Amino acid sequence: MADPVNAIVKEIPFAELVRKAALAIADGQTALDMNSVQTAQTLADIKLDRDSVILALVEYTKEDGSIERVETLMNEQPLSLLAYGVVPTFYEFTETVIDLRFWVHFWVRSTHVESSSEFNKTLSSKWEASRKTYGGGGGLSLNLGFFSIGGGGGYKKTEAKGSYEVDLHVSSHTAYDSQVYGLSASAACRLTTTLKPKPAPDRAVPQIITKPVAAGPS
Amino acid sequence: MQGTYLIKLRDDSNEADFMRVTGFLQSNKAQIIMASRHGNWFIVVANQQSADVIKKMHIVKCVGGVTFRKREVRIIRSKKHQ
Repeated sequence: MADPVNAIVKEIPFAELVRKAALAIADGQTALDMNSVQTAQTLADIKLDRDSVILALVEYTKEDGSIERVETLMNEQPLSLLAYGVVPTFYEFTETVIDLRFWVHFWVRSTHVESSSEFNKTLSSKWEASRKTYGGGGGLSLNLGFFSIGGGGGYKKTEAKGSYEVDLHVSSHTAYDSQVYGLSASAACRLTTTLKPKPAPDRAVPQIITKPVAAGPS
Repeated sequence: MQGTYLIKLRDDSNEADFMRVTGFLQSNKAQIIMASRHGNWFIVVANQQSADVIKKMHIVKCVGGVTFRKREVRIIRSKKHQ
């Protein structure tokens, strides 16, 4: 009989498994990217109030270089969180491991049953029988000159002796073979992926150029 | 795994919703870095499980990972002329 384990291994659709795993990861990657884009849009929509973000510190110094006073340069217009410096995180699947484990248990159970029985019996018996037979015969004869009645009689005895002996021999024999084949298979599949942040794609996040207004004569 | 997340509530959320999310974040030991009641948004450091739970709340509009870009406050020196 061919090894069923090898047959099972050949039937596992590895290519299909990898293809579906790749498509699932691609779908997940798309969802992650769309979520990051949505986050970028939300960050752009959230505005920080004017005069709430320090853009620069302006130090006024004397001739000798000592600092006379310090002023803060605030945002004159509402500033988005994106411009403030909060950028969406982009993720990517860097590694995928398909862990497929299966267990195949193949077994054959043979049964051989043989039974034999023998029975011997000798029967012997003796018998004796006798039979007696009484019988008579008769006849009538008539003699005209001489009256006579004639008759006849008889007796018969039969005897028989004998014995018999019977040998009884009974024997039975039963034998059968059976084989039971069993096959059990179970499998488990685990997909492990590693998700890591990646730099935002070009132009996904606009470049922020901060130009403070002129702080006075320098 | 800890991460920094932006949580934006729906525009029609009220103060009770805002406080409910705040309470959930505090009970799950999330660190609230920035928040705006008026704007209905948070920037928090939380674990992945908490972020997933918040994302499923119906009052939450968006949950996404964010990163703080290196930001420098420039110093402008102005020399006073006598």
